[in-house]
This record gives sequence, C-alpha cells and structure tokens, in this order.
Amino acid sequence: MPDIRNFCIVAHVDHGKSTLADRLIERTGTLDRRAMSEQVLDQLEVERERGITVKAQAVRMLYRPSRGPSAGREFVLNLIDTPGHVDFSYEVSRALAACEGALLLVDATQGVEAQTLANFHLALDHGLALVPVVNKIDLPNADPERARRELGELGFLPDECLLVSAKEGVGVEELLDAIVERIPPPAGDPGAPLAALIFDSRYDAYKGVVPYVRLFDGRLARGDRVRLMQSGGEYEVTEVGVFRPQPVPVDELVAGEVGYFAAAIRSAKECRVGDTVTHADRPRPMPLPGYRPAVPMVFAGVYPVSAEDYDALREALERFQLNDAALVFEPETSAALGFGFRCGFLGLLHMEVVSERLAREFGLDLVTTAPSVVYRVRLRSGEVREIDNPAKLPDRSLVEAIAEPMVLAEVIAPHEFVGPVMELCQGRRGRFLALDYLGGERARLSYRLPLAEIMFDFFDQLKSRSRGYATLDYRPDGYEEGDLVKLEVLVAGEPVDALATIVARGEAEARGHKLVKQLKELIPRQQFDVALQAAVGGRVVARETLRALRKDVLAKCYGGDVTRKRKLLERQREGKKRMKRVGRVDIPQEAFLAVLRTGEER
Amino acid sequence: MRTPAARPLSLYVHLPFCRAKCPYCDFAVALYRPGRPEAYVELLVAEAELALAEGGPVPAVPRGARVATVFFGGGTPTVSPPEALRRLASELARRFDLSGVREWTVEANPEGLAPEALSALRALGADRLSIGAQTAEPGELRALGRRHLWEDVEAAVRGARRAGFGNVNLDLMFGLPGQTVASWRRTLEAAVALGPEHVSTYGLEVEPGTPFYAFRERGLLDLPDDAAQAEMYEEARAFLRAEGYEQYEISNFARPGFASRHNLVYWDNGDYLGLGLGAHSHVDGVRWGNTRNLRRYRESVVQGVRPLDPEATEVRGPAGELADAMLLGLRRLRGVSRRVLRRRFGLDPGEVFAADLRELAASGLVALGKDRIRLTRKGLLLGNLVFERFALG
Repeated sequence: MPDIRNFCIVAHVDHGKSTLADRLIERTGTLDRRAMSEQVLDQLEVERERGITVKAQAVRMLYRPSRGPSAGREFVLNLIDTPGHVDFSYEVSRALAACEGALLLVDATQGVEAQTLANFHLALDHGLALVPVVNKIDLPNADPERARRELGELGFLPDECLLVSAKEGVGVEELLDAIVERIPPPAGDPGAPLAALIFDSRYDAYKGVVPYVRLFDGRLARGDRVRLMQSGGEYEVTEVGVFRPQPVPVDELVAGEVGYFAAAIRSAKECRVGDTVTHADRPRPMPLPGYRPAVPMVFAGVYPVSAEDYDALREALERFQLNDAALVFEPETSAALGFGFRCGFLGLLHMEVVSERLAREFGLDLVTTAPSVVYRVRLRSGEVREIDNPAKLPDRSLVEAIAEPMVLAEVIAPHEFVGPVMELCQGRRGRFLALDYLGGERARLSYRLPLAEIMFDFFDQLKSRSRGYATLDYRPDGYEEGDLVKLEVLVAGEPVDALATIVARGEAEARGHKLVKQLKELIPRQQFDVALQAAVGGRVVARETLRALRKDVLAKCYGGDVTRKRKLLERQREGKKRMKRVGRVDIPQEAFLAVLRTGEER
Repeated sequence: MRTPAARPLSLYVHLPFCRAKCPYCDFAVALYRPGRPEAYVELLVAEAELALAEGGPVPAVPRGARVATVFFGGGTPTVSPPEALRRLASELARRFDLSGVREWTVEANPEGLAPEALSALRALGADRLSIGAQTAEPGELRALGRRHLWEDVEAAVRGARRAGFGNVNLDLMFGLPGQTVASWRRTLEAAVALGPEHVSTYGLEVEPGTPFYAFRERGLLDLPDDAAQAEMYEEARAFLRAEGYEQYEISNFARPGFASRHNLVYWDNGDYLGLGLGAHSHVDGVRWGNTRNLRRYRESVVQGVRPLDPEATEVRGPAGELADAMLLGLRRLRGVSRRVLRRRFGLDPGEVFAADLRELAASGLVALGKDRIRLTRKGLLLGNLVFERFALG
C-alpha cells in the first residue's frame, strides 16, 4: 500500500476551515493559486455565500516532506472536508469514519467553542488521531496562548498545538509534516472482500449519482459488479477515480484509498451516505457499522405561488433528491395555499439552503410555511399518530396526549452571559441539567429543550443576549409529553391552515399576540380592514386590525418622467405577484415564516 | 418621420437653478451662482440644435416644428436673469415655430419676484405663471425648508397681475409634517382668496435620496398617516369645487377654460420635447430622459452629443404606448376613451386589459362606461393600484 494519510478538519463555524483546506491544496501543488477559485472545497453557490459547507468533499494531495524522519518519501494525503453545521451531524460522523485522523482547528481570537468541543468528542469517539491547530495567529486580537491553554484542558500538550495562519500561509509546512508524522496510515487488507464506505455523493447528469468512498478492505476497479449492502442495489462500475480536486479516473482503488466511482446509480436515495459497497460475487458478510437512515427533523410545506408551477416544483424537488438523500417530500394540500409538498429536512439550515436553491436554481416563486417538528399524538383510541403539520392535528376531543421531540443542548458562553442564557433557556421550556466552568472565563450550560423551541429564533436570541459570544450545539434526545395546543390564525375571518402552529398551552396567548402583531407588520394593507386573529380551540386569544389602505397614488408625473414612475409601479406589481392570495388577502412569503420570529424582540 | 405640419409639439425647458435646495425636492436642481444661468442657457441652445439633427439615437424634431405649448420648469426659472431668459426664448424661436403657442408657463418661487422680471417674462411670450406657494402656514413652510412667507405669495400674485398674467397657478402641498386637516383648509382658503385661475394640490412624496427621506427613516418626520391624507385630499376636492374650480386631474383644479394645456399633453400621452438637465421627452413613440448630472450634461452637449440618460431611453411600440396612455390618461377625471385610443394605437384597451379592468371595476376602483374608462372616487385615492396594472416595461 502507498503511504497514505486520511484526515479531515473539524472546527467551529468560521474558524477558517475552508481557508486552511485551500492553503493545503495550494502548498502541495495540487492546484496553483491562479486555478483556485476562492475556497475550492465549498462548491455550491449557496454554500459560498453563507461561508458554510453543506456537503462533504474530498481531495487527494501529494506531499514529500523535506525534513524529519520521512524526508523524501511521497505521501498521499486525502483531505475529507466535513459539513460545518449541526444539521448534518450524521454526515459528519460518516466523513470522520472515513479518516484515521483529524485536524482540530481553533480560531486564535475565539478559542474553543461549542462545536469545537462537540467535534472533539465526536472525533475521539471515532478513534481518530487528533492534531490541534491554532489558526488566525496573524490577527491583531489573536491570543494563541489562550487557545493553547484551552486545548491543554482537552488533554493536548502545549508543544502539540501548531500555530498557523491559513490566510498568510504561515505554519502550513509544519502542519503537513505533522499530518504525516502524527496521523497513522490506514490499516486494511487489499486481499479481503471489498468494503468501501460511502461518505458523500454528487449527482452528475451523465454518470448518475457518483458516490465518494473510502476503501477499508479489498480493491475496486472498472467493470466490477458491486452491491450496496444497505439499499440492496447492484451496479456495474463504469469508472473509478480520485479527486485532484477535480475527478481524475484511475485503474483501481485499493484498501486505504479515497476516491469515487460511477455506476449509473439513478438517485441519491439508492446510495445513502454510510452505506457499504462490496462486490456482488464476493460480498463481505456484514456491512460497515454506523449506518443510519436519513431522519428528517423538521417539516415544512413548500408551495408554488402560482399554481402552474406545481409540476415544475415537483420536478425540481425530484432533481434535488438525486443529490440529497436527506430531503424527503410528499404531495400536500392546504386550504390556504393550494397544492404543494410537505418536505422533511435535517434541520432549519438544510431547509433554508434547499428553499433558497429551489428559488435560485429553478427560478421558482415559492411560499415556505413555518417549519414544524414531528409530534407524536396519542389518541383516545390508543392509536399513536406522527404529525408533521400542525394543521393536521386531530380534533382535541380525540387527543389523549401530545409528545414532542426533545434535544440536549450545550451552550458555551463567557461567564457574564450565563444569566441571560439561562433566562433564555428557561423561557423556552428548557430543563436545566448542568453548569460547569471551563477555562478562559467561560461556562458550559446544558439544557434539555423541546426541539420546537430551538426553531423559534433561539440561535438569534442566544447571539444577541451574549453579544455574539455564546455558541450552541445540540443533539436529539427522545420525546416528551407536554401540554400542547394548536394555535390557529384567522385572516379576515378565515382560518389559514399554513399559519397554524403547535405551542405550549401556557404560552399560547403570548405567542398569539406576537404572531398577529408580526403579521400586521408583514401583510401589506388591503383595500379593506383585515382582522388578524389567533385562536386556540375556537377561542380567539389575540387580535389585531390591519387598517385599510386609504391613499396610495402618485401625486404627479412631473415633467413627463413617465419611465421612472412606471418602473416603480411595475416593481410594486411584481412584488404582489410573489404573494399568495388567501381568500381576498395577499400574503407575502415572509408572513408564513412569521411564527419563527415570535420569540422575544431582538 | 415628423414633418413641420404634423401634430404640434410641446416644449419643456428645464432651468435647474435654485437659491437653496428644499429638503423634500427630488428634481434636477443646481445651486444658483452669478453667471451660471447664462452659461447654461448657451448649453440649452446647443442642445436645441442637436435635437433637430437627424441620425441621432432618438427621433429628431424637424426644424421649424409648430409648438403648441411651452413650459419653463425648474429649479426656479425666475432666478435666471431676464436677459438670459430672453436670449433663450429668441434662440428657441429661431428653431421652432412659436407663433401658434397657446400657453407658455413659467414656474416661479414667490420670494424676490421683481416687477421687471415679471414684465420681461410677459415680453418674451409667457402668459401663465405657476407659483410654488405650497402652504399658507408659517410652521409648515419652515418644516419644508421654504424661504418665503405667505405674504410673498400674495405679493407675487399681485405682481403677476400687474405684469399682465391672466393665468396664475398656485402649487399647494398636503401631507406635510405637522399638517392637519384644519391647517390644510386654511391654506386652501388663503389660496382661493388670491383668485388664481388654477390650483395644483400635491400630496408630499418622500423620495429616496432626499434629506426628507433620511429624516423619515430616523423617525424625525411627523407625517400625517394615509387616512389623514385621504381626508385632506377629499377636503381639497370638496372645497375647490364649491369655489368654482373644476378638478380635471388627480392633483389639478382649474376655473373653466384654464386647465393646463401643457400638462394635458403629458396625460394624453402626446409628444413633447424636453431640453435641459434631467428633462424628459416623448416623440414618435420613443421616450427618453436627459442626464441629471450637470457636468455630464455640459460635457455631452459641448461635444455635440445628445445628453441622454441611457436608463431613461426606451422605444415603446404600440402595446407600450397604449399601456402608457392608460396609465397617464386615467389620471384625468374624464378618463380615457376606448375609441380614441383604438384609433391612435390600433388596439382597444377594453379588450387588451379586459381581465384587469374587470377586476378593478369589481374592486370599485374604476368605472367602465360605454366608451370611457375612468377612476372612481376610491380610485382617485388608490390610483397606484390601478396604474400598476398598466405599468408594462
């Protein structure tokens, strides 16, 4: 086997992961600076704009150390990039499983953060060799010693921590040497039956879904007949290759290596991340461990503004699914919004990314309803139903109890913000679990919270109450029954199913007040007064009146400047086209997400 | 191509200079300095010559074209010395046939209107004076950053009469900071007491880029809400009608026979040539606007190039012309005539816009007659909901 090192970079968001990856690619000559568009690994437009990685990527680099015990030998370094958001923790875990080591990256100006810790533990759980790296040492407010101290508390020796400025390229050589020296080579038997872990995939219009794989045992070559052990599908391999970082075909992949193969796989559903590839004629007895089917956490209705776009939306969702196995959808009808789809997402970010891309890449005007978690409703008949759309909650008289999904949340914040953060968590029906003090004047708070509460602008509130310092990580933690009710919204006397939410009974009234107030701000005034009401079980708990528009007319077309005024009117009309007419009232897209913002004022 | 005998043309000339810029103003304005108007008039003359030359990016106007109306707008045209305006008028007369002009308006601010200046305007052919009176309330004038008092307006009207102006307009504004229906009523009364032939009542529009816009964003403008503005508007309609003024357009009222011929050309989607900074034109189905930047205007004209703003130039075509004719024509109280528009553009708006008109009529915004389509009383207040249907780019 060649000298291989498989590693990933784990870090808190914004700690410079992509920039460091770019620098490694550049320094190993895999791509020159000119050929690199900023941050090669973040390829999606949306990802680039948001500075986050949604899907994992992989790149193969060649490196020959010029000093040290391995000087002169050539190493293959496979960098597997991991998604940077808590929504994608399963995908992260599969990417980690494909590696022997990880760079634990810490921003010298920020120190260890909630996601740093979460990733640290995750990497340890996967048995990875960790190389702590302190990044951004070039910044004037950098405090590398503090970062080192904090890493020391995680068990690293001060000498182990490498100081790097990915932006300036400082310390990159030393880092490459450390990767070679400290991360163990892959074990594995090229002669054993094929075992390859799928850690990501991409859809290609010509080749179908292209799985990205890490080989643990065996060999994989063109012409092989392979079986995906979880989905059961069998395929003929038409191409195998590696990433440099663009795909380059090779003769075969051998145990320990990272690459891709093409086998005319039609959809991402058929090759879910975490599945095991083996040979059809010489299968391995058991799949690799750790596989988990995609479990959407939040659901939202996605509706075309204009009914003619329904088919286009379905096609777009289908196209999307080819590349994104985590997205699920099924047709849904709303009295208010007409025909659309109920879509399941891994989390809010996943939802935002998908709806943004649907709008941008397919040019669709869409209304996305407020996301909902999946409630478990126990009926008096004993039947238990899973409800992912508040509008579909069975009548109260039939319901025995409603249980909602919970999460374990960890917040790390400087001491001074512990009070405000606790206040926030308590206000969100959180149950306090623990408070411990970390070094560097920081505290870690653990709470058990309803997942639904985290969706209601929790993160924004957390940031604003801690002046941006607090960080959050959470993971699912079962279900719990609560005193929950359906909060309905009536616009001009008509219930709008797409605006219904499920809330704690004690908060229904306050939520209702804030919600109708928000709607009053977001819905443009109509030619008549519009009553905005929130109701629980048929009883109105909050009401606002959207006053009729009394005057809206251009005073003049002065000096014959028709063009400019006409353009103004045109924009106004186009804006209305993007609204959804419910009854007699035009409701803009933002209004359907108003429930997300009914937490505290910012 | 147009011939001198074709439908007469209207002429708009923009004189941008003001002694100070009002904080709500969004027009192309430049600060007055001695010598500036004279130099600018030479640019206007050069631009007029360019407008006659064939082969440019926009339709030419034939030399000697018959002009029906002239409008000197601003800015404050009357800050330009009479000699400069005289030169402008005589140079225009060398290029256009002004012998048949039936209305020649000059805009003026009330303050500092010298009798000689007014006489000079009459001498060069102006017969209508449009005075920016705005409001009779001293506090509201201050809030608008105006540099005059109502006494100046009274003096200006007297001066105009003495100079022989038989057609005087007062521009009034409502929806002003601190204004009430009662104070607006006082302004209307004060205005009518001066006996103008014409009154314009403009609702304040806070335009992006103006100081007022910034004030409003910062919550510093105490503007009446739209319900109060609607009340003020209704008040003006009722009061002026009772005083013998006929409303003929959303914002305009006149004694019988004194509707502004020049402005009617705009609303009837007729042809007009605009000269000067930021001036707009509509000739032979093409709309264009001049740059609003004085330096660019100067450089362009000096180089013999028409000073166009590329953003504001568009060829409309019959469908666009029809839509514009609707958007503009519906501003008139009498509305538009399907028959007339069909004859002009070969398209019947009643058919082209059938669905929109049905909806608008159902909402009570327009009234559909056998031939005429016009705004209802509600439509006058919510005109934009009607106009947007005809805003086709």
